Amino acid sequence: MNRILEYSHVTKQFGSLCALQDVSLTVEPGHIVGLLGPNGSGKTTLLKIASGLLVPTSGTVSICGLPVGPESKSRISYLPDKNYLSDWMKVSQIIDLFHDFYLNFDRNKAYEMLQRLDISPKQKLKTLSKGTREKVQLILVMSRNADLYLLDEPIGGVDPAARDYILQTILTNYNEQGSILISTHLISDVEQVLDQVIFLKNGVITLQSSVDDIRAQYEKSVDELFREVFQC
Amino acid sequence: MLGKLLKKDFRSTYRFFLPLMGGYTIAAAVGKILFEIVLSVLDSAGHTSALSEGIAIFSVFYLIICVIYLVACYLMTSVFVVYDFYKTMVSDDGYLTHTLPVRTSTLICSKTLIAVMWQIVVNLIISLSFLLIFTGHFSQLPVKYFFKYFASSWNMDSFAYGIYSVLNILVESFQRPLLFFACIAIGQQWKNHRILGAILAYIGISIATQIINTIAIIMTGVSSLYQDFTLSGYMLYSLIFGIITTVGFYLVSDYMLSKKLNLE
Repeated sequence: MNRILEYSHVTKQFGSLCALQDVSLTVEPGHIVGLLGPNGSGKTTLLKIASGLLVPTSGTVSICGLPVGPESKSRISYLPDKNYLSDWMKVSQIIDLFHDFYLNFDRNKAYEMLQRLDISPKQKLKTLSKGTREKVQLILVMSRNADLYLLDEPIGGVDPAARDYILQTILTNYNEQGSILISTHLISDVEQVLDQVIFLKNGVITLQSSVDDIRAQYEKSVDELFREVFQC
Repeated sequence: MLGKLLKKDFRSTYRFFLPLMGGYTIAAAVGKILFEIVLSVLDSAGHTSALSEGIAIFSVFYLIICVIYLVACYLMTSVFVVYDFYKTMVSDDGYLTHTLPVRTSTLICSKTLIAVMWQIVVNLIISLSFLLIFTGHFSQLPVKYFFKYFASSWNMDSFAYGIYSVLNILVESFQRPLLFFACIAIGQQWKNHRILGAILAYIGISIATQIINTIAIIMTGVSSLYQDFTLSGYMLYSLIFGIITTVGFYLVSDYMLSKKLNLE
């Protein structure tokens, strides 16, 4: 089977801190994978390396068999855990920008989602609340017909009602032939949508398994197992 | 993709430059009006009247403000270019820039071309403002004498000097932003003090460039200390040195942002 994403012996060092240590993993098409771990476990670093925002100290990453580069970036839709849009821009200008650069961007889908959320395309980002800006980012990311969605803490820092909306938006808009790698530490909220999980602890993968196997093998939910593994 | 990037970068920079250049154009136009009033008052009222003195004092103050504005235009051009590069390449906005499906070299090319364009626009507007001030009074300027004097004292044709000057200005228009880009690209390696890192990189590169330049001048013999010094030789040397350093700064920027990108 073709692999959408493959990390091979990836290590990332920040000075003396080892953020990722000899990480190898694969993600296959059509899967929703939860990248689970406590804060500082290396989840964001892992996603940034695949997005091309960080260069690994050693090891390789390939996306649909391609090394990280312009080709791979055209296939990845990445949602960072921070505001990465210029706040002087209008929502419509950002949509134009995405449409210009990403061939797989569906402008109509973006406008439909904006309308459903009652966000005016004429508004400048700086006039929007933090939560609305995050929704705009999510709309942009999910309006792409990408092979791989890398979502970094998409439900972190929002209220439970917004979490449901975000998860619903992800599930109803992603390209089902592709895969989603979603990083979070809010396991119970995402557990029902995941096919697979990866546990990351201090930059090391401690578990990679399907959700069904976890339930069968450990007779526990992912959330319960997570709490057990990462008990303080 | 370069065309799309140019469009994106133009949009993100024109909002800085338009007010700056618009303000300068208005200031130059007012300067021209004032200049003409001063000349007509001096012609009609003489040099000693209270009115002419008042206008002359006001004109001097206005001239000082215009010169400060002119210097600020040059400085702010670099400031805006640096600010835009820093914000869109190595701060939070860089998350979008570096996930666009384009090569790092294309990103740097786009930023450089936009920076060069704005420098040319600023230089053109400032040159035109001088032309505007002296329009109608060129016959009173010792232009012919200047060219004659220049050719005899520097042993160089003023046309050749003009060509060399334009080429040097053009190379410098590429060199200056690329030096800043290289420094920011080096500075982003620091985790917490990226701006300080960029400043230190600037100081380091400037010192290294000066040392290499001095050695090269001595080795090539284009210094005015030598008897066979010619201005054309020195300008040709400056041009070549400028091109080499420009390429060097580009390569450093490209290497640091493609192989050592560190958006922590």
